[in-house]
Amino acid sequence: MDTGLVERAQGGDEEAFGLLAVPLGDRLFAVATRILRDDDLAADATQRALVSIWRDLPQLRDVARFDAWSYRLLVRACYAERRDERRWSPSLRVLRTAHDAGATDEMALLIDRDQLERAARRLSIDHRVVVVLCYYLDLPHVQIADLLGIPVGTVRSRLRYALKGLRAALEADARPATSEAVQ
Amino acid sequence: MTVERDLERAVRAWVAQGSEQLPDQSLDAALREISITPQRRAGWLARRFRIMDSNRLRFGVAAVAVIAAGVIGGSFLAGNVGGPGPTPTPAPLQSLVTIASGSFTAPLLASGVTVVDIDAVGVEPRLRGSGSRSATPASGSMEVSDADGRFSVEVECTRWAEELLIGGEVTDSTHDEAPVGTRVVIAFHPRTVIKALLWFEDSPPAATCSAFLESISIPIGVSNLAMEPVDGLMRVGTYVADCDGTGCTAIEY
Repeated sequence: MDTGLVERAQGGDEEAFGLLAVPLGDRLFAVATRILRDDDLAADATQRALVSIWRDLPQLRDVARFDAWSYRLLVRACYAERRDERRWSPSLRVLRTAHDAGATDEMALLIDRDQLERAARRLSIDHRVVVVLCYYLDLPHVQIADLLGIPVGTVRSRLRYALKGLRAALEADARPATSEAVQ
Repeated sequence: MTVERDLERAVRAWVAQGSEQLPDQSLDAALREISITPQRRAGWLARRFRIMDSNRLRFGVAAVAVIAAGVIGGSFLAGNVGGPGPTPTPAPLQSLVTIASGSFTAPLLASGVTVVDIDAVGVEPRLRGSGSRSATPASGSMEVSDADGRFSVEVECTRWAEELLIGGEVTDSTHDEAPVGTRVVIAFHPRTVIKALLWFEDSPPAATCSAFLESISIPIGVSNLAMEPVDGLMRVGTYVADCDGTGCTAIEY
């Protein structure tokens, strides 16, 4: 992060913010798309976050904390986007059958991703946020707590719950395949 | 412990995948909005109110009240004098089309669910479908099973949309992922092959099966759902249909 650009943008320099926004937009979008599991929603959330960052930038006291602060605004935007979503969000996929048992590794990989995707969709956004911040951004629990404004214990419990939920969903997914294979 | 680590590894691998580049149009839109958005100066409001004396404050409050009364009164009159205003256009429901846009790859058809060539010699048709081609009321039922009859799904409240038969609520099923009560979409081109059996999770759930089907109905001439094999994978995407009195042709993927 170029702190010089941040400081110039803080002073109202739109050109500096434009330079900042290109890499920042990509970073935020990557996180948003993993939280929301929908590229269109993620693009909207990122757009919303970029505008909030610009608007509130003069209020940021420590420019060294710009990244963490930006992620905080992004997470808020993701919540807002989810809240505003008044549309159908069907999950569309082809159902598996016993034929899948003889699938190639590549196919198995596709199915694993699909299973994880479905399992993740069953998690609440609170839990998905923590999973993405922890496993995608590799942020320490303390920093996640600070970013979300929640106690560290809550971060840990959300993470534990999320992993438990993912495991349960994956196990539930595995059951039909096993029973079909036995038949 | 190993199981936990495996799960964490799988989660890490999974979150590593995904889009990483904000679409240009979104960035452009954000920058356009920024160009007309003033920044919030820290403590700006507090300072302004501190320097405002009580008379100016009272005048300011009165002015705001007058403006607000004018705006409210104006909108009230506009709503009554001219008769009922235009009916607000309901927000369009998110259709299956938008959700499936972009490239969506599903498992190979060959190892997929329901590749049954109904007309093939020696292959017993495993699909029975009936339904009205008229859009409303949605009616009909169908039963689908794979070539070996390993599972079957019966749905009711089906309907036709162009060349796609779209399913509804599952009334009987031996498929674990499409249990009774869930909603599925079963699409095929009549007299050819079943293209796909798709599972749907409508959230929030539609009030009725008909409402569910309406939400995925496809108006003529607009984007449509399409499935086609691409490089051995089934690609689900959208197309724009060119429709005349006899039918529709996909003109653009």
